[in-house]
Amino acid sequence: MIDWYTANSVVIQATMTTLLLALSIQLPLRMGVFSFAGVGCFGIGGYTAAIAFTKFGMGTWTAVAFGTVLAGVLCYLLGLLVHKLTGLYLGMATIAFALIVSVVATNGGSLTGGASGLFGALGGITNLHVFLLLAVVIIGLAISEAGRFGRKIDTVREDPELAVALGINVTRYRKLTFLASGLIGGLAGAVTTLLRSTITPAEVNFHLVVVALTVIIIGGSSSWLGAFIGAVFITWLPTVLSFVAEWEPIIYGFVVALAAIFLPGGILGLVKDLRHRRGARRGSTPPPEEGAAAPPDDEPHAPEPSRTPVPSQGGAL
Amino acid sequence: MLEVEDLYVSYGAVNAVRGVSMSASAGRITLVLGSNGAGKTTTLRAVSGLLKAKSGSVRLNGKEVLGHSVHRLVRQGMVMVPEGRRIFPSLTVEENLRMGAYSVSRADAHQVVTGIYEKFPILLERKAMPGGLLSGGEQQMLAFGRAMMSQPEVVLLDEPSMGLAPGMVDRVMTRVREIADTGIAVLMVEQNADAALAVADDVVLVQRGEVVWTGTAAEAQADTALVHTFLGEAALGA
Repeated sequence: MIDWYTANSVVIQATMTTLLLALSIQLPLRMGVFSFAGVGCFGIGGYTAAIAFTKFGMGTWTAVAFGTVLAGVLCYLLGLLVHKLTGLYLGMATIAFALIVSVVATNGGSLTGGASGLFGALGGITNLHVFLLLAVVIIGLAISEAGRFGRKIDTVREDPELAVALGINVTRYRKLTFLASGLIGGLAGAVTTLLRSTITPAEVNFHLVVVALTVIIIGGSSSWLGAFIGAVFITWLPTVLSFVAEWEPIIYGFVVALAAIFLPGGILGLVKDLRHRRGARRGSTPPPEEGAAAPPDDEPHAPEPSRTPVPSQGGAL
Repeated sequence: MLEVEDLYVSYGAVNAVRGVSMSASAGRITLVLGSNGAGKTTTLRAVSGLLKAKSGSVRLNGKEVLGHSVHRLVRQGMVMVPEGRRIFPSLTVEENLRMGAYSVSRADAHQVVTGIYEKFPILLERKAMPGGLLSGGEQQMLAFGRAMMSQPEVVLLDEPSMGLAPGMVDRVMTRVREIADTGIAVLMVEQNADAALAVADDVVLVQRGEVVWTGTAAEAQADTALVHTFLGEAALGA
């Protein structure tokens, strides 16, 4: 077991940091907010932690905290600007935010190291530290998915206008999701940078949006568990497929495309659907009440609904 | 009690609602009738806080509430049931009901749900079913029940009969009457004048954003020419 861990330590580390990044966009998507601002915050958190560590001599955890909080605050301010946008417009605005972070990093002179980035930011972070941080984030997200609060988020995602009519302050929720997304993204960036000791503009570019979205597509956006499944899948797939040598990227792309086409709720959505169908088969539908319950012929019943929540504005998912 | 006075709502340069005044008292149904585009739903949305009014006054139990956010209005006792039987199809009936319980304490929610099941027994029978599998009429009951979860004093109903089979419309209207009979003030926008007049107490006729007639439901039913003039014969099921 110890041998296995030692041999796969880097992949385990990559799985955890990828999961943190993915969670930064899974949270807004779960709320129906089609935002990739978490990816931009990954860059902000990473660069801020690296600058704080290498240029200002801050300790590892102070630098991580600084990067996380700054990313959260900037993401919240972005949220104030763009929270009224929806769907693709919001998606594009937040992707632009991520690209702007990369451009600023490229043109930041000696502060950001320009196109070469920053080096020598090796903090004292271990896999255990990352695991504990991840556990805290996941516990927070799991709480947000349960009970009354979880139902509120479900309401905001499934029908924002109806949520307003029910008395939920949708605007506040949308703004807060930007804050939480920024904090998680910033934490992911700060931890990843101080683990790897380097950060460059190329590492915080558009490809991170693709990585994070791929994790969510494969795993599912309805829960942190979906992001976990997706992160494990895409981090370990290249290792598993290493025997196919140069064909690996093709197979990888093929698997992702299949997941996008045939698993709209991700692997987690598939599992939930199967469980739901099994439960529906076991349970018996009560007979319609005479007079009131029988649906008229011109009122078609809705098809068997999927219990996997889908972001109302996230058609591209 | 809900009092709306001299309400103006505009979409850009277009004045959709012009000086509308109406009221809804506890235990009574105030029916807002009008043809398509008359400004009924716009009025209701402005009263409920979903739409920003240009000017006017909306008082809830004597307190000015125009401009209050919707979530604040729900806490103050006014809730709206939007048109189109808006429910959460993937959630069960019970989960749908609990979606409406945000303004009541967690401890009270269970008691309130029990009360809703007593008022709408069909929801109790269907409580574990996904809302999307209910019939149209049952979905409307569910929307009513969910609105009642916040224990409102005033309920705003936007076209509750929309899309329902004719046989179901009367049952839905009966439920509206029962809601009002519990002491709740109901302000209902409806195009199906025939069914709605049968249960309403007061009527406000709206045309092109203005109130053109007010009176009791009995007066409106007696004066069929009036309703024909403004809504057409179809409105009275002719």
